[in-house]
Amino acid sequence: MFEPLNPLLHSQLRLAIMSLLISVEEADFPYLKKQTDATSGNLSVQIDKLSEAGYITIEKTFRGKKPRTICRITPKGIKAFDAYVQALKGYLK
Amino acid sequence: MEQEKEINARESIVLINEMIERAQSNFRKGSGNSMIFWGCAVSITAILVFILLQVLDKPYLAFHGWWLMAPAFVLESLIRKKQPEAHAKTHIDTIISMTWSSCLFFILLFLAVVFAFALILDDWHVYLLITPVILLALGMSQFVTAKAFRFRYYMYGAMTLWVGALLCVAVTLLTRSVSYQFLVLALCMIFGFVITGILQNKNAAEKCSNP
Repeated sequence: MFEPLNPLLHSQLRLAIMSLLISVEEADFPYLKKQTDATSGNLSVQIDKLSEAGYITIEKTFRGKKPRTICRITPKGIKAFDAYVQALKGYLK
Repeated sequence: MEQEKEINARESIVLINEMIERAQSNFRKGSGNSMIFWGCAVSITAILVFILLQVLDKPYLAFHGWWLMAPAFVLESLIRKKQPEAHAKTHIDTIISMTWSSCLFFILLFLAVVFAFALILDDWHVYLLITPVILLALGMSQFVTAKAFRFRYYMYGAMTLWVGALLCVAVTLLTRSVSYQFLVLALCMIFGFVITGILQNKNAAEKCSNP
């Protein structure tokens, strides 16, 4: 019996964002956009969904006069990502 | 990348691996700029202090040249603020940043201890230790950076700095003067910092163009 995959993570862009954030302490919006090749609109929507689920935090700051959005994975996000990877292993056996 | 594209389990694993690899090779364009800046700033100041030691009637005044490091700190922080690149901070970045910060604290505290001893003992000989010990501390930080980033040119930089510390002892023995230590320091900063920084920038530019 396969364990169901978390639908919030089983999406290409959201999974890419979570995989990047699990490897770093924090990442800003342009970095995530560059690494995922996503459009700003798509990325923004998916980041909001992950944030609403409590998987990531979004911090809005300023660097000089320019606004800067910084994303970080939360302990809940790490747990969800870990559970997703464990479930994936079952599908690959 | 599309937001809701269906992916199977194997594609998920491939995607996770690809993203983790991208995040780990977090070399940014211009990441060696800080090293180049400090290499240039210290080597120029060291050469200036060396020249002042030769030409001034009161050579001890030459050491005031090191006050140039204060505006250099301000200038470097301004340059760093203007970097517009997309940014992510990895755990290794934090460790390296802490290593260099602790190196800076060590140098400042060491200088305070040396000056205190010079005053207490009324003996300038303790100043002979300043340049070699600073080179040893910089070499240690460079060594940690080399191991963390797995970038061999940092290792060569660390070795240059350590050899420079030994060379300081040799030139002091041969010339019976502290002034030639500043020439050694200038050379070490050029080979250990400036050239290493240029090679790091070149490496980062190659990695960014061929991700």
